[in-house]
Amino acid sequence: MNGNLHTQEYWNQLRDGNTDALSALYQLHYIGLINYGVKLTGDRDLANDCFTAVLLDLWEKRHTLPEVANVRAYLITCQHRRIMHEIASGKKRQERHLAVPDGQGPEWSHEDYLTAIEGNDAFTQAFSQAFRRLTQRQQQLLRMKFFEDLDYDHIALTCGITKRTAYNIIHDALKQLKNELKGHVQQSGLPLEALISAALLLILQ
Amino acid sequence: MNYLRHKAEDLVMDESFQQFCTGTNPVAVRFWEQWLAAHPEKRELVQAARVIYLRLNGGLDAETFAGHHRRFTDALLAEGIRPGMQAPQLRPVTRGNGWKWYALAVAATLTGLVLTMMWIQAGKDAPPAGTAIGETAMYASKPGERKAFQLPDGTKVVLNAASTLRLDDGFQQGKRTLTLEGEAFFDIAQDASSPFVIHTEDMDITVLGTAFNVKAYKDDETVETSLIRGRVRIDTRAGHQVYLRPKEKLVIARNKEIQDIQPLTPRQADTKKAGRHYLIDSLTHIPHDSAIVELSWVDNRLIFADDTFGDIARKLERWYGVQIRFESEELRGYRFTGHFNKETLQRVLEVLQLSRGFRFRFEGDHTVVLQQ
Repeated sequence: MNGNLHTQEYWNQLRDGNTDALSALYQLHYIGLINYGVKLTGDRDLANDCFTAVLLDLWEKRHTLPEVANVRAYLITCQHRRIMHEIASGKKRQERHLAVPDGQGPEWSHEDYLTAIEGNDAFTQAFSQAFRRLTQRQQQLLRMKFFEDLDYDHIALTCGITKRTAYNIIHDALKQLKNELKGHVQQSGLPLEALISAALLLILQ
Repeated sequence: MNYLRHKAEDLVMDESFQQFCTGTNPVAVRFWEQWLAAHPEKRELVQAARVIYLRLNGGLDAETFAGHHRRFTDALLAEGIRPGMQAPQLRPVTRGNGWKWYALAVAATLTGLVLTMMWIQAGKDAPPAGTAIGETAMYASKPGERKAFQLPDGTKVVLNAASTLRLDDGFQQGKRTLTLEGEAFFDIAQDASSPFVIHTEDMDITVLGTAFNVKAYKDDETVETSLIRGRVRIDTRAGHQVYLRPKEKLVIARNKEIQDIQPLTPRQADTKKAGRHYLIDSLTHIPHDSAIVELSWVDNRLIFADDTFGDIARKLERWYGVQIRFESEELRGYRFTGHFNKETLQRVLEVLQLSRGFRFRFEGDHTVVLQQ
C-alpha cells in the first residue's frame, strides 16, 4: 500500500533515531505484517506482538542497521524469524491460538481465517461463495493487493503482467464481488456510527 | 479528488478509503467522516465498499487497529520510548507519479529539515516540540505529470501538469492560505472557523466550503475559476469582487480585451459592470456526455471545445511534457473541438488533422513541429 520511497525515508530516519519513524513504519506496514503473521499462525494478536517486538528490536539496533533497498521485505524476514522463534520457544500462547481446520496445510487460507474470526454467518457464506466464483487469477490478485497489502509494482512484477492489467483485474473482480453481494451487504457489518466512534477513539487516544 | 462518481469498487481501491476503513491514517479518517456528513446519500455505498474491503484485508477494521496500536505504544512506553503520533498522519495521499513531487519537495527544502518534520509541522493537532515555524510546504508537478494529495486540513487537491502549490506560513495554525501557479482542482475540507484562501498572480479566492477548479498558468491569456458546488468569493487584482454560484466560472483576461473571449451564456449585468476585464460564464458541458470540460483533466480526459490551435498547443505541451513549435503562424488561429481519453500525442494530432489539414513531425523526443 505504501510508496517505497516513503518507507525508505522512514527507514533512514529510524537509523537516525527518530521515534516518529518507528510509529510510521508500524502504521504503513500494519496490514502486510499482521496478515503475514496470520498466515503462519492464524492469530493476529500474536502477529501484532511479534511485529511490535521486531520494531523494538530494530530500534535497539538502530545505530548498526544497514541501508535497505526493500524495507518491506526486510521487515517480513524479521517477522518470520520472530514468529518461528515464538513457536519454537513454546510460548505460542495456545489459549489464543485458533485451531487450524482439518485438512489444512501448515498455512492458513484467507477464507478459513475469515470464517474463524467472523463466524459462519449468512454474509460470510455469501462472501465465500462469491469469492470462490472468481477466477484463480482474480482471487490471487485480490489476496496480494488487500490481504498481503502489496503495491501494484510488486504484484505486476510477481505475476508477469503490467500494472495496468493488475489494476484492471482487481477492479473487475471487485465489481463482480459487489454485484454478487448486493442485498447481503446491508445486513452485515458494524453500523457506520460504531465505525466512526471507533475511529474517533483512535484519534483522541 | 471528486469521489461523487465513485462506485463501490472504486472506493475499495482508493488508498485513503482503505486507510479510513482500517483507521491507520487519521487524516483519511477525518476526510471521509466529513465527506459522509456532506453526502449522507452515500452512506449505503460507503458501507457496501467498507464491508467488502474489510473482508479482503482479513478483518482488520478500525477497532482492531486501535487495540493493536495501543498495545504497540504501550510496549514502546515500557521501553521508555515516546511514540511519535504524527508522522504517518501526514503522509500525503499520492497516486501515479506521486513520488516525483516528493523528491522535488525534498530538493526544495533548503532548510535541511527532513521532510517528515515538515509534515509534522503542517499537522493540525499539537505539533511536537522542536519543529521550526515558518517552513513552507510545496507541491509541484512537472509537465506531463499530475498528482493527487491531501493537505494537512483534509482538503483534497488534484494538481495538473506544470503547476506549483505552496502552503503559506501558518497553514497549520488554522490560517488556511496557499499560493497556486498553474491549475488545480480543490475539494475543500469543511471548517467554518477557518476560511480557505488561494492566492494567484491575478486574484485571491476565498472559499466558503466547496469544490472547484482554478486554472492560473502564467503563460495563458486567461485565468479561470470553475465552481462545482458551494460558494467562493474572488477578489481580482483590479479590485473587483465576484461571488460565483455553482456551475459558473469566472474568466479573467490578462493581456487582451474580454470581447475576444466568446461567452456562452454570460451573466449580462456582471459583464457590463466588469469593465471588460472579466466575465462570468457557465461551465461547458459536452453534448451526450455528463463530463464538464473545465474539469475533464481530473479524469484524464483531454477536451477541446472550439479552442484555437495556439491554446491547444499550450495544453498539449503541459499534458505530454513536450515543446510545440509553429512554423506557420496562421495555424495558431485554427479552431478545433474534440475529446480524447488517454491517447498518445501522435494520435491526438492525427485526429485533429482529420478536421483541418496541417502537417506535423517530431524532432527528438520532446519537440513537435507544426506546418501547413
